[in-house]
Amino acid sequence: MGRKDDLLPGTLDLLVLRILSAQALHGWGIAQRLKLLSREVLQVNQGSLYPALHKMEAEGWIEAEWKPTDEGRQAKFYSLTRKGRKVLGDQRARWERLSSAVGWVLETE
Amino acid sequence: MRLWRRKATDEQLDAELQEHLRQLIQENLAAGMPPEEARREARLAFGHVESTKEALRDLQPARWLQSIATDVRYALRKLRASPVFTAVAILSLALGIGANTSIFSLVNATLLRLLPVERPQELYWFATSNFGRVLNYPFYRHIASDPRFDGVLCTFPTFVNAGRAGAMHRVEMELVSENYFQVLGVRPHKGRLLMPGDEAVAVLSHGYWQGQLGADPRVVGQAITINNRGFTVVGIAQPGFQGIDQGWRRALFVPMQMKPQITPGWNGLDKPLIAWLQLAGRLKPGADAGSLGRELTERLHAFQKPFVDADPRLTQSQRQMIRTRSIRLEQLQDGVLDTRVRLHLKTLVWIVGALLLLACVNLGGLLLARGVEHQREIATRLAIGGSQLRVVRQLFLESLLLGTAGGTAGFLLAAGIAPWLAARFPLAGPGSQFDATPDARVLAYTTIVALGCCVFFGLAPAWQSTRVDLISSIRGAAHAPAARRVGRMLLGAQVAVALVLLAAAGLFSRNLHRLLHYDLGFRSENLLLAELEPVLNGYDESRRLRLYRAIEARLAEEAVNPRSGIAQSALANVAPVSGYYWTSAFVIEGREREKDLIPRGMAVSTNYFDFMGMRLRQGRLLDARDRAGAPRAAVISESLARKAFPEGNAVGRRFMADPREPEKTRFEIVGVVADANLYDPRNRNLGEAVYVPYMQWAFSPQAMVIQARATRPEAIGRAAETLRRTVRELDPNLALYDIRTTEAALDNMLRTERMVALLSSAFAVLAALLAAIGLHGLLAREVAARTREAAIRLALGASRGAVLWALTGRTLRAVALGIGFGVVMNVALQPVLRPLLVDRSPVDGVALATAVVLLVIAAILGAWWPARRATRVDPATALRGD
Repeated sequence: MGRKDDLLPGTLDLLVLRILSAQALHGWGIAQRLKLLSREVLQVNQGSLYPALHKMEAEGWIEAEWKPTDEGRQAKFYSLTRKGRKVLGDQRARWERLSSAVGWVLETE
Repeated sequence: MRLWRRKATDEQLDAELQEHLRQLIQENLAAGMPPEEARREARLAFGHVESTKEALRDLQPARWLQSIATDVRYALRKLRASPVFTAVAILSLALGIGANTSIFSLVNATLLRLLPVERPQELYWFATSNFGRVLNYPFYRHIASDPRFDGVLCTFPTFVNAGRAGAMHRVEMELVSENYFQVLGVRPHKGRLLMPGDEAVAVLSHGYWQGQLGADPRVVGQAITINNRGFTVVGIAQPGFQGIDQGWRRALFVPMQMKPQITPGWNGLDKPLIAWLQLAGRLKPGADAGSLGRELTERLHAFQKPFVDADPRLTQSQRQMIRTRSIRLEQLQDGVLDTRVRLHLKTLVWIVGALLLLACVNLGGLLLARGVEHQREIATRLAIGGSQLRVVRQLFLESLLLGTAGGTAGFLLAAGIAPWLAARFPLAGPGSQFDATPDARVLAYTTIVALGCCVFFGLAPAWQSTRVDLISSIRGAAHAPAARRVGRMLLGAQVAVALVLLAAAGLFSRNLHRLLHYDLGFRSENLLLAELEPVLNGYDESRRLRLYRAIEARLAEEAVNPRSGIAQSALANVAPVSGYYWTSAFVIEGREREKDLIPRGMAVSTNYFDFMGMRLRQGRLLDARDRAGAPRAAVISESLARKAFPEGNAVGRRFMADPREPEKTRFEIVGVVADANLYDPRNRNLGEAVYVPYMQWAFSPQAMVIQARATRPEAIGRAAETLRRTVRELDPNLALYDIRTTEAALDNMLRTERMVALLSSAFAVLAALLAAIGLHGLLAREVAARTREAAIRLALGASRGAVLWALTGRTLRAVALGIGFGVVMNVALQPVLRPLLVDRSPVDGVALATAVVLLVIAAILGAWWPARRATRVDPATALRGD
């Protein structure tokens, strides 16, 4: 179960919420989308992805619906709720604050 | 949580994960891998499905509950799979918890479930240093309005002849101050309670009104006869209230002012020094009972000083006694049981506590062993990614299930046993009928005890089980020497505790046996006792004497009649084995300054000694010469003679039985008889006694006891009928009460000892049984686990005896150590048990030896089958197992 690059703790939720804010997707789709958007740097294993999805579903940030895929198979599609959108905003702001702070520290050499 | 939903979620989860896997495979195929490799690669990349599922399940509370339901089902299945283990575990828990809950029910009923009064914890007795809690009326009036109390009440329990229209009964009642009900906070059920200024009125207890007056609603306002005088019933007290003393059923409550009518022949309301009246008060919040008690003592001393100084007739010892008496405020709820019964009950609480500990240790040992046996399964679960917590939870659930089952069974057991115990052993007094049916408090107690057992002896083995060496466990090396070492230590402790319980039970049983077979110094077989109190029917002294003589004469005639059932009869003012006695002064003529002899005083018919089989030592017995008007003659007991006249010249000396009435009570000693224990076999220090003819001096106008010896045991019923008929023919209005045999009286007196002997024996046998089960389990496991070792040893030429010792030696050594430790503990505990026993010998060797022998037998029984198995190991078969 080797991972190429581990996600920073706590960032998976943010990334998944960001991906789902654009469109409803199933688990596989989310993983693919993450790979694509991060230019293959970030990968998420199902063992982390599904617990995160189910946790966010339980928190009410995302909701799920069984729908047919493009190939006509049944899959569980996740989409953002109002609450999820708000969490995404908060987390995004937090992340930006945090990453710029890290940046400042690194740049003050 | 509905099951189909759980199933649906699980399936959906599966579908979701499968879809993900399928996509991975698709991708690999698209990349040009052959199908086999594509699938394999995808699986590897996909990782562990089950741990994801488990992580997902634990995410939501609902799912967590689901997983618990799964675990419970799993635990039930596992318990069902080993029925012997389950049965033994539940049974030992049920017995341990049942015993505890039964005893707690008794404690609850006698100590915690209090009198039906308001805020009982605020009520305090005025306990006095001598004779329990007795003061007098003038002192009561002196302190009744003390501002530290929300009221002080006084009460005097006594017996009266009461009833309506010819249906008279002897009933218990209380003479009380008019604020009695108000201080206690008791409400009327009908009518009203007592008020200031009340005189010839009575309040009935609800029980008496229902039982003896047929719950007649018109009774309020009507008259009731008490001791031949009419009293107006003003009301009925609230249901459940039957007086201030738990265990006594008082029928009537009458104002204190009516004392002359209630206790004819003795008023005493104006006497400032005598001790007879009980006082109790409701302490205001914040008052300190300790310092207030000391202050009340000072006030008592200041109050009585002028009266003591003014009374020249007081003897030196009386003065001393009055001057040194003190008051202590004692919570009403603490006075429900007498100290001796309380001590016995406390011992039982310890015994059942030890028993429960044993049961828990057994359960712990069983679970520990089970943990070892299931190590392979647990190791496998841990290896495939089961969470440690989940495994512990699983194991803990198992013990929780056992605890629930054991607790429920124990509670049901106690619900059956406790009321039986309460009915069989009236702990709070002869008339006590308390309700020991388990209530919410008992249920809560059982729950806490059962949960405590689970936590202490379920959780530890559960943790221990998860700390397994995965690799060796899976390989099947079922070695767990550490667990077995703990098991042996527990076994040793079990054996020690069982030994202590067995030895204690032996002590209590031998104590009871001694009490029952103790030579009382008089002939107690076929002895029938019946009491009458003609003074309550208005008999004056001369009429009483005429009645007693008539009874004597009639019964003497009946003794000749073979159909009467009576062989012989006598009269005395105190019944043997009643716990009651009168004291007499003993002021020897010529030695008036010595006033420290206070023997028991008895007024008897002149044939009493012959009747009781008491042997003459010196001089003569009382006889027909010693009638009313003749020179007063007395017989004294041997120990009194020895103490008062060490030179042995008692006969012919004179003494006064009451210095206040020197002329009426000056007796000449005509004889000395052997000592007899007439009062209480537990108290051997009451041998000093004075016997006088009742015709010459009666000590008190109260009861007279008719004693009759039945011709044989089967004639006791007929003899009782003869007594009843004789009295009825003399005066149909006289009540003959408390007809019983001395055997029954002794039985009744020793009920607490009997209960403790019975229960401690039963509990000790259980304890030995539990220890044997524990030993059996431990040995069986050791033998099973080391069969290979035994086989190898046998194959290498070891003798069977050596192999047997190799397998069982350490365990048996633990048993021996346990026995040794138990003996030491038993000796150490002697000072605790001694106050409960009549013969205070330091160590009862017989009880201890019996206990050791019983325990060794139990150990042999427990060790027999495993040991047999160990010696029957067939090397070839055992070694082929690998």
